[in-house]
Amino acid sequence: MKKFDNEFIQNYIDGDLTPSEISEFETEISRNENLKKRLNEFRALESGLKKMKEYEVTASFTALVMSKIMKPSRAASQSRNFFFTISTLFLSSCLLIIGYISYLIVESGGFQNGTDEAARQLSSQFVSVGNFLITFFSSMNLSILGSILSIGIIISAFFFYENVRLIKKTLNK
Amino acid sequence: MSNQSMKHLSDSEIIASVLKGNRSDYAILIDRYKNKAFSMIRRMIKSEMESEEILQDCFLKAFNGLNKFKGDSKFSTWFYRIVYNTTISRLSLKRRKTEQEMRYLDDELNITYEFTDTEKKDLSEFLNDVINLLPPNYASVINMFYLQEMTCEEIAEITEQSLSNVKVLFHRSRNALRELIGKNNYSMELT
Repeated sequence: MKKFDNEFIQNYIDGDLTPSEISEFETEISRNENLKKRLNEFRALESGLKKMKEYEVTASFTALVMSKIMKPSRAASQSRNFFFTISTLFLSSCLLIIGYISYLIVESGGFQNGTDEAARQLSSQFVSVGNFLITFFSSMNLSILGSILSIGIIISAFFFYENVRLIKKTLNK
Repeated sequence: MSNQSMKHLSDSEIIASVLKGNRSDYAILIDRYKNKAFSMIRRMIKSEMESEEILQDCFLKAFNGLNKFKGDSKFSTWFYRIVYNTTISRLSLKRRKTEQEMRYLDDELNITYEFTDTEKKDLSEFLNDVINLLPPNYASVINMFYLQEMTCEEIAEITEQSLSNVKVLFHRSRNALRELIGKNNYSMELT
């Protein structure tokens, strides 16, 4: 009987036996009730396992995953917009300063009297801008400006932190 | 191309479309694999809510790593490996030794089943309950072979175990289940 052990029966079920082994086994089954019972246990298991149903996810599963996949692009776009705004503000300030200096040069007659005169005019304009800044940053003005800047920095830092936190949260989701 | 016609495309064609920027096409892959992967996780984790959470994580991981998928193996094999490894990691958070248990074979597999209802369940319902009693590595092998119709070679590739290990796991799982069928006279249903 050792020949018809579990492994042999499993091979019969899996179709891994030679035709002569199959024939020999089937002859034995027809006269051995115990072996037939064991074979039925194997068949029952195979049949039951093949009918095994798959579990199903909730109906909104795909939409939920897709919303998470699409969100990072929105977060990245928010991040891009934030840096675009900061860069635009910086460039605008630079352009305003350059524009103001150009205006002062044109106002005072421009470069009409040769290169040396032009250099002198340009230098005097920078000196006047420098004098304006020195007056502007006088000790009293500086303390007022410092306070305003500090408040501005604190507010900007808060919004920057909130923005970064929001982006991180969205990406983690 | 409409979403309906996209459904007939192969996995690699859909992946190519996603990588070109059509992110929404990834939904077709999700629909294609969600229930089979969910069944695999649920057989290992047992909790429905946690399984769904892990599956979401797996789909996001696969999406983020899609450009690393070279197509050397089938997408399904690659994806199920992510599913299997993510589930093992989650299990190992619960039990430190689980990972070790998942990689090596236990000496013996003994499971017992007791009816709680007065009426006897039908065979598939009974098997469903019994498979859930199996340790995660045994349950996942049974699930992959019968539900996902994978070969032992594919299972070995996904679980990163040797083919002989997978065969031993498979053999023991079936023996344990068969014994329970015999003990509870379910074999009579087919005679």
